Amino acid sequence: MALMDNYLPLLVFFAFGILVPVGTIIFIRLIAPRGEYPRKHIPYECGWLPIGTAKIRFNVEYYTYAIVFLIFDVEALFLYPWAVSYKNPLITVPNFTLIACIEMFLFIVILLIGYVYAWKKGALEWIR
Amino acid sequence: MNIEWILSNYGVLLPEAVLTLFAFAIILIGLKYRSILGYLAFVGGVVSLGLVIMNFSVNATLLYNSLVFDPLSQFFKVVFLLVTLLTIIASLRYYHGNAHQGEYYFLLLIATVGMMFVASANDLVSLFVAFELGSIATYVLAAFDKENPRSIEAGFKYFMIGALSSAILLLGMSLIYGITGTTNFTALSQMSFEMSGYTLAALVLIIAGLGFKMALVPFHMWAPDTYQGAPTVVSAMLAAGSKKMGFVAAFKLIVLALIALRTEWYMVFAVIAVITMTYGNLVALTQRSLKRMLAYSSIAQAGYIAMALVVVSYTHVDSVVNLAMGGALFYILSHAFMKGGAFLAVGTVGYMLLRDKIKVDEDDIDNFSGLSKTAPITAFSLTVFLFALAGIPLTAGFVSKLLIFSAAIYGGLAWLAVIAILNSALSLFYYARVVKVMYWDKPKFDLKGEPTAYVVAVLLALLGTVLLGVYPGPFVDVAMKVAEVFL
Amino acid sequence: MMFTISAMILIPFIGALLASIFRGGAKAIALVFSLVPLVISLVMYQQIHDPSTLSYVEHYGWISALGISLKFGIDGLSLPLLILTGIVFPLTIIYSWRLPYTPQVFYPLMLVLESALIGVFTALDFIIFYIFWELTLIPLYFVIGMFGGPKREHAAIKFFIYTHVGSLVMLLGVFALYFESGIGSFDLLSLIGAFATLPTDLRNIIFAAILFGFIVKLPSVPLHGWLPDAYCEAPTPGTVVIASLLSKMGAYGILRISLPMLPAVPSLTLFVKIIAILGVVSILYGAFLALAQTDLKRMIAFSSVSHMGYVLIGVASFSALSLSGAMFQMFSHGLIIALLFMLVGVIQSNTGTRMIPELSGITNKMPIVAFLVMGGFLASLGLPGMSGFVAEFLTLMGAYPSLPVYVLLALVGVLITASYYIWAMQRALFGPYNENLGEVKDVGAIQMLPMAILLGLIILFGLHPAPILKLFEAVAVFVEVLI
Repeated sequence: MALMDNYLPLLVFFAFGILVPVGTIIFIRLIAPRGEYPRKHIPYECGWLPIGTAKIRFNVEYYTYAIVFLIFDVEALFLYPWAVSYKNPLITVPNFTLIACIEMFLFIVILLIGYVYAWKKGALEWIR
Repeated sequence: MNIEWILSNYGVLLPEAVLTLFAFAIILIGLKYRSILGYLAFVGGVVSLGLVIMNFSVNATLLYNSLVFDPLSQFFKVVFLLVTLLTIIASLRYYHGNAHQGEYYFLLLIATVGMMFVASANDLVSLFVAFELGSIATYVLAAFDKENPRSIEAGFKYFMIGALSSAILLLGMSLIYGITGTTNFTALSQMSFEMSGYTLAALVLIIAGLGFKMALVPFHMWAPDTYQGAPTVVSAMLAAGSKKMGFVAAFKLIVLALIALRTEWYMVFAVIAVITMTYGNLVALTQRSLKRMLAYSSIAQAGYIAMALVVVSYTHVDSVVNLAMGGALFYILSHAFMKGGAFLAVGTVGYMLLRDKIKVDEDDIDNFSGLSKTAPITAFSLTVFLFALAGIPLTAGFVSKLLIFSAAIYGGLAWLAVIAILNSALSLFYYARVVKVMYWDKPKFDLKGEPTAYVVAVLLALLGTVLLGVYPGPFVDVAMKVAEVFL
Repeated sequence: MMFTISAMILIPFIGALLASIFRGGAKAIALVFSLVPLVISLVMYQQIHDPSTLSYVEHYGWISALGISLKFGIDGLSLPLLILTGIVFPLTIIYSWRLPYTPQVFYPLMLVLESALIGVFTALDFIIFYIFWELTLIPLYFVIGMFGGPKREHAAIKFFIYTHVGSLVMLLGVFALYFESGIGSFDLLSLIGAFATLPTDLRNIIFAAILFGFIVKLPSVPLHGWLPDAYCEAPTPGTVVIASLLSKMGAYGILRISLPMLPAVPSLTLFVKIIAILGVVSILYGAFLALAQTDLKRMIAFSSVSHMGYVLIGVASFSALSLSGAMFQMFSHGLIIALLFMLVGVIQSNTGTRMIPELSGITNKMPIVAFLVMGGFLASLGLPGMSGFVAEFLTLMGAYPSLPVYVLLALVGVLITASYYIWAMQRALFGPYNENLGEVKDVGAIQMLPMAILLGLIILFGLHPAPILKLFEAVAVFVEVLI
């Protein structure tokens, strides 16, 4: 039974995980007021009345913009674990701090080059 | 801080570092000045090649044993750099004045860096990352002529199948990590495996994953379309360079790391090698597009090289393993020259047709009729490359086949050697046909002079092909010495 | 002394490079450079002391990992063939002087071919031998394909692939020999010496594989499939070289490599029987095929099959007399067949046909050609006083004690040979002149010169064979003692 003991919390977690969304849906069904009116069938755009159709083409610049943003977003994420470990006294590798700094420096420089390239190519201009 | 310490420890990384530096310099400079980029890339390649050769007999590991620098890695780096240099020289003409030169040379150099790191990888993770670096850059390169739908198709197919093969490879690698708990090749090579369903699955996945890159039948479907559609200079690089990345990865993973498993798999490799060479040669017989023919011949050549894997999995005798692997390495070096040269020569003709505004399929065999009169240097060189690929004496191809086939016989696989020899006799037929068209048919188009840059690249490849055939002694010795890594 | 053979191989090759660069002087360069090997081989002939052993040996490293080295040397077997090569090439080049072949392509190819042939006849390392052996194919492929007759493409590729496959089989046998013996060297003599140490069943296979490669090149029935097309579609100079020298490569290989191995072959009697049968069948079958031809060139092509059969009889006989006869047949046939094919070339270009029925009575219009044809035909059918007689007589006489039945059958072949030559002569040379041919001119002086020299040599060696025969005899006696 020891095996089952180990898995019991997991089972509980699983059951709870299912219960919450299902329960919420049922709960809302029970207490929410219901009415049918035409506006209910139009797309939801944060309270604004929708303008035009939803199937429009996005400007291609939007994607380059997003990609450049994503790169720096991920870079920032990568800096966190680096920041807590580059001076970690527990790591006994010789010159670890130096290596870690150089590596991060290289990483940022490479990204920077990409940034300069993207900028010069006009990836950050909204309307070309 | 102590800079000497860094240099003395990380000095072996200099070739890659130089190449990366040049790559970034090129993409930045390319924003403003475009005319010097090719020469800059060439200089970077030469410097890097010089550094590799200076450090040829190094023996070092880096970054917690995840990279290894030994004669094997240096040998492959030399091959990769040579191919890249040939490609750059030819591209000087082909991409002259192209608005996207910066990106082109950048991707070329970065792909080379990736391949060089594959050669140095000593860990599943570093291998995979380097493999992806080397692959992704080439996907873009294959689709570089974006006005040409064929090129787009080539890049797209290559990308889809490459991505699939990466996924398969990665799954195989994770299974190996799951079984052994380590990703390091040195540690893996000391493990003793039990043959189980998991090891079986892992090995199958790895062979399949790498088989795509090496274009072994049945994982070859992308190769003809990609080699045909890609810009010819890029095809040269893919067939002569990028494909070797698959081989070095296979040698490292299967022969070095999973050494304990190799005997179980001799029959699988044997079947793959035989099917690959036979299929490649048979299909090449009927091709009208020369690039497709070269692609299929490249598949056949991969089959010959894969014979080395068969031999080492069949026998453990040191001298046999040494001969087989040495032969495979020599084959890879000479294949880089022969196949690279052949693609570049075909590219020369394609370029001349484009330049002289003759609208035909760039690589149809009819374009080559009477080439000996309109473009004598290209025709002669292509003849030598094709005869070399067929294994005619006094070319690199003969010595390579001599080594590989003799290794097979030495290892007791005479039947394999017989099949391979019959295959190379068969291949002579389609190579000789092209020579026939070039030398004794009437010229079809009036071509105006051969482009210098292409001629230089083709002649350099010719020099390599003939030198390795006429004076192979020292090179064979080097290959055999390098192959001692596998013992 | 040091680099004699290397010089012999390299000088025609250098000539080829020069001839391809200087278009205007290609012919003159080709002639001069093709004469150099003749001069060198005659000097060697003067200085050679003991023809039964190797001299002028050169040895350089090539691929040490496999034990392949550049080793060259000559003895009484190879020297006459070098002289033959040296004679035939300059004569062929003189013969082609006025022919419409692109000089900067044709002459370099001929010179490369000469280099490769000298390499074959002097190589003492198996891989080097094989390399030169294969290398002879490339220039010939181009010569046939670029300058040949109407079906040249088919003939060129057939010739190329057919003989290439034969050589590959031979190479496989050599590999097996090399690895099984474990001597770690491709040295020809060491490998032949190590042959006897191999397991018995393997020895049969290896011997058969190597013999196969040689027999394809010889060619002997039933492996002569490439021969008619290649001989007939090749341009005359190409045919001359193939018939006169390339077929000698096969014979040379058999005598140099297969013969010393033969005593160590387990199924000795079987193989001797096979070789003798192949020889006799070639003689008879070739002769019958020749008898049936109406095309003069094809007839001579099949006569060549017939004549090379004598070499096989000589090998199977194991007697010094017969062997030296067979060797002399190589030399003599080289001269005769060169003459005959040159004549056919002249007849075809001057009359426009080479079909025997269409060539009636040309003696009246072309007396010189007719005289030379008679000379050549009589030499080929073995008229005493010509070199062919010496060779065939010695071969058959020496072989009679050991192979009486085969010799008697071969004599029937001699009879048929005589009849097809005389019949052809009667139909083509004599009789009423065929007026459809129009006005035909006799051969010009430039083309007559090489043919006259050849006929002169044929008669000279027919009356006084000793200068060449003594070299062969020394080797044959040496080999007989070995066996």
